[in-house]
Amino acid sequence: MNIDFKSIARELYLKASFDLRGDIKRVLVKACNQEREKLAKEALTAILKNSELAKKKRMAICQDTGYPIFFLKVGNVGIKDLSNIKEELAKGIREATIEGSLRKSILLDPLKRDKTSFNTPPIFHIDFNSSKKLEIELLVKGFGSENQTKLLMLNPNTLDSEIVDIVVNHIREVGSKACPPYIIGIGIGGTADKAIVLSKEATLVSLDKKNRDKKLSNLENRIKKELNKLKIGPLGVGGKTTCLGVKILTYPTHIAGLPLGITVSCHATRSAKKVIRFN
Amino acid sequence: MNINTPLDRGLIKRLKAGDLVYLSGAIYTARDKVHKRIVDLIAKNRELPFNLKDSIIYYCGPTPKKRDDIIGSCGPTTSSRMDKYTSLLCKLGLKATIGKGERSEEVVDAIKRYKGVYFTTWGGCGAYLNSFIKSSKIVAFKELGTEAVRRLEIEKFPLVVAVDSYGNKIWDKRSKNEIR
Repeated sequence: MNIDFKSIARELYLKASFDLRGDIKRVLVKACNQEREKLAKEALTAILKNSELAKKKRMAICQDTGYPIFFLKVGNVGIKDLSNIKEELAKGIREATIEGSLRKSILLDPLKRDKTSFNTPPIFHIDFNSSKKLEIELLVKGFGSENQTKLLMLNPNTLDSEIVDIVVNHIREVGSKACPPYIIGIGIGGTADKAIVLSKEATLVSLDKKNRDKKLSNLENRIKKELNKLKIGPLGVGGKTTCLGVKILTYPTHIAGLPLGITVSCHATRSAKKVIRFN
Repeated sequence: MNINTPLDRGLIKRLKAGDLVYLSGAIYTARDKVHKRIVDLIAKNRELPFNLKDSIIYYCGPTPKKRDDIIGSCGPTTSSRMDKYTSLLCKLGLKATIGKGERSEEVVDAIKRYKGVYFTTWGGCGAYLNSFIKSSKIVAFKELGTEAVRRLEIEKFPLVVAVDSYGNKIWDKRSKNEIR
C-alpha cells in the first residue's frame, strides 16, 4: 500500500485552518443560546460567524495559523519503510501554507529570529500500538494560548481538590489573554515531558466524548464548573462561558512524583485527523 | 455606538469600560518586532515609521492576502507582550491600542495619565474581522512580512472598551458582575 503522506498533511492543515471542529462548534452554539449577558452573546456570535466565513471563504479561522504538531499512532500496518514519513508530512505542511495563504509564523532560529519557514519543520510525537491502523492527527497550536502552558512537578500526596485549585488559579491568572472560552487539556503522570505532551493530546479529544474513567470524568466536570465561575467569559467580556471543556489524560508515573501539565487552548482549537486502516 | 478617528478628548471621556463601539478611520498594525524597533528609534532620536501623535495601534499580524482580497485573516494578538513598551508610546502621543487580554498596571496608569483608551476586539475571529477592513497598505518595515507596519482603513470595526481613560478595567467589572 502506497500512502501519500504529503497530500494527507496538506489536507489536514487546510481543513484544520479553515473548518472549525464540529464538536467545538456544537458546544459554542449551545453556549451562545445560554448566555444572557449582551456582550458575552455578541462575542460568541462573532466566533460563530467567524467559523462560517472562514469555511466559506477558505480564509484562516485565526491569523495565527499555529505551530503544526503531528501525533502519529502506528499500528501493525505492514509498512516496511517509514523513513520518509517525516519529510513527506513536512512537504505537505509547506504546500498547505502556500496554497491556503496561511501565515508563516515559524522562525528557523529561535534566538536570531530573522528567517521564517513555511511553517516547517513540524513537531512529531510518535507512538506504536498493535492495532491495524495508522492514525495521523495534526494539531495546529496558536501561540497566544501556547504561551500559557504550565508544568508543575507536584508532591505525590497532592489531593484531587488541590489539582482543581491549581488549574483554576492558573486560568484566573491567564485571564482572557488566550482567547476564551477555553478547552483545557490536562496531563497527569509520566515524566515532565510526558505530562506536557499528554496535556496537548488531551485537547484533541472530542468534546462529545465522555471520559470512560469515572473518577477522571468527575474531575473534568469539577474543574470545568469551577472555571466557569471565574466569569472571564467569551473573549474576556464577562459571562458564564469561560471553559468549553476539560480533558484529562493520564500515564503511569514514579513513586516520587506527580507531574501535572496544563495546556490552555482557545475557542478556535484547530486539529484534524486521518485514520488509515489496514486489513 | 459608532466612533471615528481621530479620537478626540471629549469622545474618549465618554467611553466607559465594557462599552461596545464600532470604529471607523485609520489605524496602524504593530506587534513584537516593530515595538522593539520603534523604541530603539526613539532612543536614537530618529524618525518613526508613523506619527504617534493621536495614533491607534492594532496588535495584529495578518495572514497573506489572496489575490482579490484586501487583507487576510486579521484578528488581534495578545497585548501583554507589548506592555513594556506601551507607557513610553502613550507619553509620546499614542491614543489607543487594540488587542486581546489584560494589561499590566503600568499600562493602565499610563492610559489614565495620558487620557487614552485600550480596546479589545474579537480574538480568534480573523476571517470575520477581515470584513471591516477597507484598505491595507504596508508603510514601514516591509521586510518583517506579517509583522510589517500596515496602515489600515477600517469601517465599523467592533471594539470593546477594556480600559477607559479613568483607569477602569473590564476585568475588574466582569468579576463584580457589572457588565451587561
